[in-house]
Amino acid sequence: MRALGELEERVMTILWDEHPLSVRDVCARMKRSKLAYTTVMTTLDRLHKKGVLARTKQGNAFLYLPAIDRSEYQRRVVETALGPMFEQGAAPVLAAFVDMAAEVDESNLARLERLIADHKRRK
Amino acid sequence: MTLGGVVGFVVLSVLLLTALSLMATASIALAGARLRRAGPAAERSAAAWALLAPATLTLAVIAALAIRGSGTIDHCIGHDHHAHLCFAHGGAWLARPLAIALAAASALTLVLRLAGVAWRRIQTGAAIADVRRVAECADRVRIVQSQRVFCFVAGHRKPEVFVSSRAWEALSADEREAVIAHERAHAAQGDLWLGALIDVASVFAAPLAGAWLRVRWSDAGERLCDARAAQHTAPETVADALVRLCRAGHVQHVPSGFTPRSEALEHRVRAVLASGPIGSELHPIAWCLAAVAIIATAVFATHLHHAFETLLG
Repeated sequence: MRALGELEERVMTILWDEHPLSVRDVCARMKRSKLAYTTVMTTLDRLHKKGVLARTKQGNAFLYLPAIDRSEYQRRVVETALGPMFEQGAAPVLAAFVDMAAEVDESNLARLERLIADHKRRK
Repeated sequence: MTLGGVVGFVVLSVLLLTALSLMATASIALAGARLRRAGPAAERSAAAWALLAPATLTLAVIAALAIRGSGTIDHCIGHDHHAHLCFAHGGAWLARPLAIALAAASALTLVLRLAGVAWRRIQTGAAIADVRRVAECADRVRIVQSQRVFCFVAGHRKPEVFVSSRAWEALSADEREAVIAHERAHAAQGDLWLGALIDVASVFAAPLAGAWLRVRWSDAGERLCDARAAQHTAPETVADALVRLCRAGHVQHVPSGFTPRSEALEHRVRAVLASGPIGSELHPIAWCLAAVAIIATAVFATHLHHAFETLLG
C-alpha cells in the first residue's frame, strides 16, 4: 500500500493511540486543526475503504478502529515501495551498503567469518 | 536544415559513439589488473570516464562538424561524389534506406532508454518519499520497518541513511557505525548525483558496454566506501557488518534484497581486510585528455569532415 496522506496519517495516529472512536470523537481530538465534521468523516470513510480502518455501527453512528497496527502499516508501505526494486535487483538506483541481489552460500559465509577472525587474531 | 542532413549526422553520431564506447570499454578491460592495484577510487573514476567520455567527445565532433558545415563558404561544391555531412546539402542521405533505418532505430532506442531511466528515477523518488514518511528517526538514521535486510542512502538535496529494522537489529554498535560511515561516504562523494549522470551516460554507450561499465563503477564505489568506512571504524568491523547483513538475509531465506552475491561479498571482504590503497581519482588526467581531444577536433574539423564523408561513402 502507498503511504497515507498527511491528514489520513494524523487521523490514524489518533486511532492507533485510542480506539474505537466515532467521527465526533476524532473531531474533538483534532480541535486545533478546525476541520469540518464532514472532512473528518470523509477521511475516515476513505481509510475504511483502503482497509486500514474497521468500523462497527453503534446506533446511528460508526465507531472506527484500526484494522492494522502502526508497524504493520509501516511494513506494508515499505514492501510496496521497495519490494519491486528488490525483486528487480534495482539497487544501483540507490547507493546501498550491500547491493546486488543473489543467494549467498552458507559455507562461504562461514569461511569469510573464519577469515575475519584470523585477521583479528593476527593483529 | 534538411532531413537528409540530420540523418547523416545521426548515422555518424551512432557510429562514433559505438566505436568510442567500445574503445573505452576495451581500455578499461585491458587495464583491469592495473586499475585494481591502483585502488577503488582510480577504478571507479576510470569506469565513469569510460562512460562519459564517448558521449562528450561525440558531441564535440558533431558540434565541430556542424559549425564547419554552416560557414559562409559552401564546402559541398568541391566534392559531389559522395553524400555530404551537411545540414544544407545532405539530401543524398535520404536515398540510403540503410542509413534512414539506422538513424530511426537508434533515435527510437535512445528515446525509449532515456524514458526508461527517467521513469525508474521517478518511481524510485516516489518510493523513497513513501518510505521516508513511515520511517522512524533514530541515531542519525531512519529505521524502516521491514523483515528484509537492507541499508541505503537516498535524497539528492539532503541525503539520509535508511536501514531496515531487521538489519539494524542484526548489527552491533560498532557495525552500525561502519554502515553509517559507508553510507555517508556515498553521500559525501556525490554518488547520488553521479549515479544519475552515469545512468544517462550508460544509455549512450555501446550495447552491453554501458551495463558492464555501470557495474564496474558501482562495485568500485562500494569498495571505496568500505575503505572509507574502515578509516572511521576498523576494516574488520566493516567486514563483520557485511557478512552479518548477508547472514541475516540468508538465514531468513529472503528471496532477494540488498545482499551481495557470493563472489562480490568475498571480493569486498578481502579488499577491506587487505586495507590496500584507496587510489586517486583520474579527474585531472581525464580532463586534460578530454580537453586535448576536443581542441584537436575543432582544429582538424575540416579534415575530420572529409575523412568521415569518405568513410561513409
